[in-house]
Amino acid sequence: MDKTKLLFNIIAVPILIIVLTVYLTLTFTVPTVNSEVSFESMNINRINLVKVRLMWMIPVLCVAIIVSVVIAFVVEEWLSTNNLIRRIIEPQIIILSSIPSIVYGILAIYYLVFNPISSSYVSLAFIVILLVVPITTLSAQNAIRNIDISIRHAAYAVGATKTKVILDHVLPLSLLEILGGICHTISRTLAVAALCILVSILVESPISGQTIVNIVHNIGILLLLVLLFSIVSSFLRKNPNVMY
Amino acid sequence: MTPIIQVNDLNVWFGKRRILRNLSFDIQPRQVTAFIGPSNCGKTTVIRCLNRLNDLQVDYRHTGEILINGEELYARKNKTTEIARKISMVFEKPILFKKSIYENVAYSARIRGIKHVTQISNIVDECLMKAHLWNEVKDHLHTDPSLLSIGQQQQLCIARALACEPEILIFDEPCSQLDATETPKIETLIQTLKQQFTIIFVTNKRRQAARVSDVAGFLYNGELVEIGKTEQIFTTPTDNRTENYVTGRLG
Ligand SMILES: Nc1ncnc2c1ncn2[C@@H]1O[C@H](COP(=O)(O)OP(=O)(O)O)[C@@H](O)[C@H]1O
Ligand SMILES: [Mg+2]
Repeated sequence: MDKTKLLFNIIAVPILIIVLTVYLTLTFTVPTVNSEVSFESMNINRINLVKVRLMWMIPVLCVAIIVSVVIAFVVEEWLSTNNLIRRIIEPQIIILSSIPSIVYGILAIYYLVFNPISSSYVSLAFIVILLVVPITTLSAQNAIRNIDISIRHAAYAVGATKTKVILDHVLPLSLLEILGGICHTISRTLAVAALCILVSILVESPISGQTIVNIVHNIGILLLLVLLFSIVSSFLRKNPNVMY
Repeated sequence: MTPIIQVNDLNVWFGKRRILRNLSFDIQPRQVTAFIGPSNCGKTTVIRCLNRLNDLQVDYRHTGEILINGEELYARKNKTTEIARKISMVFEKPILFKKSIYENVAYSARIRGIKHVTQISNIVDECLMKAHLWNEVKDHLHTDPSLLSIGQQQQLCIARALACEPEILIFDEPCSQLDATETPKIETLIQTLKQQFTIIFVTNKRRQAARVSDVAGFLYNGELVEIGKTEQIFTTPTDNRTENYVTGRLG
């Protein structure tokens, strides 16, 4: 019934993430990374290095998503609208979230494809955080804000504590929309990853029939996942009136 | 009789705007106390002070004393939820959780800390009966309450409020969304409930207050103009404004 539908939605997102991880792990060969200064002297395949670095983005992505949702709840539930910290944080989130992802894409291309130094892992983590946190936080905030205030009134009126109101009502009511936002973010991140792989292949090999096959092989599935996440995202964001 | 609620010199501001001025009144147990007055005179604000729902507004501020059973409602050491649990509220519109009929009522019981399934189910049955809704819903307790009529939804809200085991029940214009056939049901229900609970009732319909309440208070522009026995308020009011209002010349 409705419960199972909700459960399906909750399970679908982690499963998609796991599928993605498994796919990347199985398809990509892992070279040894040492701290030589140029690709030529290291004599390793640039495409493989890019893939290793992309793998690194997955745990960062997961942490960034969790942090975003936590930020959204703290801001919406514990900081009142005239709280100083909130007045500082909120505009930043809005400004950062309006930066198009291509900007981060270009940064990512530099650190993933053209920078041979392994310290670029830190920079990559920053890029992922900047790409993910503002947008996820914003959409989670909107999801929480969209809940009719009267539901809170009704819950407080029967003696619920704040924690109870959040756990029993705010979370279940906003969950689908939050998950929708998360899917949207993941698809954005995947698109950036696909862009990086594309560039690394083009840099590595001259354009030929083989290159095209290589591109399709490497980023085809990634792009399919982008599509899948976008579809799931828009589906979840419709916020159907399920009972909880 | 010692009053169950005592309010002394209550003032309320939303931001810079003063909404209530120097309200003082007592509410006696097991009676229906009605607040009447034209819309926007502060009726909702008064009753939301009594269960601290106004705290949810960022710019809310008040001065004065509100004592429930002699205890200051806003005192720090008092657990707000403990007190709020004793005071349950039914709103203008029926606000139901998106849960089944059964779960809506059971929620209040669970909030009180009751875990045993049969105990919860007994409470649900009992409260639905007290709210005169049992016969209508007993065969489909686990369906979506939005399929009920508005009046029945309001009764379900009453059942949910009863399941908190409150001492005080607050009704904020409970019939404003109901039609003429459903309004009397709620009014009779309130009459029966007053044997067990202290009831505070807000309405902007004069006649309804006259029918239902024992004590009536007239609010005008954030002032409590007059409070007294309903009969006295409606027949021999002491203030001009009250007289104008009850005779229909004002508001
Ligand atoms: N959250 C709020 N912020 C500012 N003003 C408010 C707020 N809530 C109510 N008011 C004002 O307080 C006055 C009293 O409102 P209310 O208590 O809802 O009146 P009533 O229930 O008698 O119609 C109104 O003028 C309204 O505009
Ligand atoms: Mg009102």
